Amino acid sequence: MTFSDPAVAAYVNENFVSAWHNRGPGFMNHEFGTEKSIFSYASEAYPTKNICTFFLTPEGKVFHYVSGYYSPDLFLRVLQTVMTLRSALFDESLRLRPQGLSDVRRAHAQSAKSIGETVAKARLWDAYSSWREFTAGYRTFTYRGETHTHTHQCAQSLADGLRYLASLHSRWTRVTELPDLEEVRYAYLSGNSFTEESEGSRTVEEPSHLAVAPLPRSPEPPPARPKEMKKKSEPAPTKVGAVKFPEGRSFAGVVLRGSAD
Amino acid sequence: MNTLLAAAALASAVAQDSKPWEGYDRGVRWEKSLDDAKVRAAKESKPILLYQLVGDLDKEGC
Repeated sequence: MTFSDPAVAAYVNENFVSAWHNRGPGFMNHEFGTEKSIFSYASEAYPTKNICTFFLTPEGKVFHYVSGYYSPDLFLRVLQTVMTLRSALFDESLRLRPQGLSDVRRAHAQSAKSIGETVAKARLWDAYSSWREFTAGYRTFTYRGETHTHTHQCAQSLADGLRYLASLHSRWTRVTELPDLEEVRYAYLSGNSFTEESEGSRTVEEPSHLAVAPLPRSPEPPPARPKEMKKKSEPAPTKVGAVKFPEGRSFAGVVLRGSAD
Repeated sequence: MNTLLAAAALASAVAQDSKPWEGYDRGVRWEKSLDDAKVRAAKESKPILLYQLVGDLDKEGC
């Protein structure tokens, strides 16, 4: 549904080269009721691990992903964020900039902060009464004869989606190396555990369930500058670790700060 | 002429209803494989969007 939206399709075609992959050969969904229900009543976001959209370089390095379903307007915002990350990381020819990784960490931090502020401003603990204001920036739309109109459930699903996106950006603030697709395509962060599986499906692991191993200590900080030139220092990370996957696999690309979500 | 157009629209709607997943892949230019996407992405200096789902995007829902 999202990809059939003309604005989404145009943005995708202009900025990306697209492909899709079925991780569950043999699975057949013959009913439309579930999708219709999600679409009609609570369809701003459903960050399930069932599906995932990866953004990668032509060499197969993943520089971002989002799991789950998003309404067209929210997905457009995700795509615009991805393009911001792309500009921070790469030059026009998609070559990694010298300061790309540090710039993209800042971009992720800014996104996490911005989304967190949006959620806070919406006072989502009272979403039932503030949902109209919160959902005002998102279109209502029609798909296959069904018209989606916003309700308080949209605010809740939007809140779930935004919290997930903020958490995801926080994860990426400590990226030290872009992971290969195969490192993350079956082990990514999601907002809920709903999934549809078949016998042929490859199970998706949740990185948040995995142990966080300590990294070697960071090098000592440089000597302090003279007082008149001293700038406000950034807070030191409270906890640093690397995501570890079961079966001996490790996710070298994304390094975590703090506890798992 | 208007009658023909209306009949065509109705036929299209009926056809779409009989294939509930037909519209899922409409609009986006999908490459046939990730490898194909990598080749075009390198040529056009664009990042790749890889949509991973359970099911076939051009046949069914997810």
